[in-house]
Amino acid sequence: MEFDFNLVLEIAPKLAEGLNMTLQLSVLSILIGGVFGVALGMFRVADVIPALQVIAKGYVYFMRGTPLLVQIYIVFFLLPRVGVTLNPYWTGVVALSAHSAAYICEITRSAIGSIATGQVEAAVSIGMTRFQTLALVQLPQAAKRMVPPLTNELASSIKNTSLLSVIAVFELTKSGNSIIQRDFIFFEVLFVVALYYLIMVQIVTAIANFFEHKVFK
Amino acid sequence: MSDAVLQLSQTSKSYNGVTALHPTDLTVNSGDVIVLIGASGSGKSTLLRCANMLAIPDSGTVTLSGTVLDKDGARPRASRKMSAEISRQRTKMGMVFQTFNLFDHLSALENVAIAPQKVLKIDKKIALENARRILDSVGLSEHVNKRPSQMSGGQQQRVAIARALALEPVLMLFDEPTSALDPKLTQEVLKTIRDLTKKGMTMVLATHEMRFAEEVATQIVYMDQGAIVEQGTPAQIFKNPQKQATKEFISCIL
Repeated sequence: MEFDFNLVLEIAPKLAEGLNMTLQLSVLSILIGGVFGVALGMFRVADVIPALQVIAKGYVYFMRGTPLLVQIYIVFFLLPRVGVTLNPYWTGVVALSAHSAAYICEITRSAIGSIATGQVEAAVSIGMTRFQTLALVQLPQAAKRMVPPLTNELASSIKNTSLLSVIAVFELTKSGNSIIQRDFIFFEVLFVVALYYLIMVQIVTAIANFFEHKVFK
Repeated sequence: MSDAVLQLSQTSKSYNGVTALHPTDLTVNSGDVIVLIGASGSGKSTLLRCANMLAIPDSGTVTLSGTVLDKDGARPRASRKMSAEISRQRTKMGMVFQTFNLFDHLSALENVAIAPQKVLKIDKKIALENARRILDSVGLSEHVNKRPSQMSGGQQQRVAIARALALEPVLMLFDEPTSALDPKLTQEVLKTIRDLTKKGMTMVLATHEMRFAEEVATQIVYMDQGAIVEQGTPAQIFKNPQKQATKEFISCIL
């Protein structure tokens, strides 16, 4: 196996664009998926509107039980059918967000569920409504417990963006692949691609650690 | 009696077909200190939890200061209006739990101030001032900024008592408040409760601290297998119990 380190230095800046794309896609999908996921999680916990609970449960069931690749195809082919035409980038954001929302729903649900029932009873006994109990007692404590699993989710999301190459989103993997196909350089490209993913995941983990230990005490 | 602070009338509760509380009557008048004694599983907790609808009774009524509490308001899918009404009624009853159940993310001061501020909508500054005063009255003025995890069990329980007092309840419900504490911490919590009885606070207290029960109670209620077996003054129950079950229980503790 030949490995040319000079090539690596040459390729690295060429993949910066793909790196940027991957970062954008994963952060956007976690933000959008986060909003929907937390909402879904609260629907599942709050035993208030039965229909919403069933919808949330069914949604999570489907999203966790099917491969992301299949979900990407579904979004890619379904959206135009229902009259929504998006470019590959936004199609990817929709697919990844929808996927993350299901996992973040479960993260939210389990974090809220992990707050001792005694505290919930105490909140109820001092006259808090269900909403106040959720907003003032459960969520603030759940938020802290959600940081580690959310970090995992962001790290997963960064890696999952690579699947968007199948719908021609020029994220990191697709960008690397195009260099491979044009110049027949395999190992150096894959080395840079893998290194970039590693660095991104490492940075995310470091930020999460900071939040977990410094900001939340 | 219509001027009772709290009245349970044929109140019962079962869990998954197991009866925790048989239909029970209990009247609590202003200034009463009613102490519930009896073995674990005798229904003391269930009775207290039914009183403020943390456990929704299967049958019977709970009347607080002349108002019958609406059981349906305590159900998870109750309408907003009904559940708001039951929440309002609950603010009149302070509940203290065996395991303190403080809010872990808040300081002692915030634990005490949160209900007046968010539930009664009292101005934050005034709520905090009151909280400071109440914490001072339970001997915790030096610990106002500590989190529950930084306090001893006895301190946490006194914060929990202060939290309940902050709503100026007409009635306090204590569910074995010292059962999770060592003897020394038990004494400091009992002192706090004793101080409350001296101020004339109406309360229903479940406990295994018999000497304390005898000292503070106006009425002792002996419970066994989900029912009230015998009720009377401390002298009657401890010195001259009438029922066989009561005699046996009393003989165990003397």
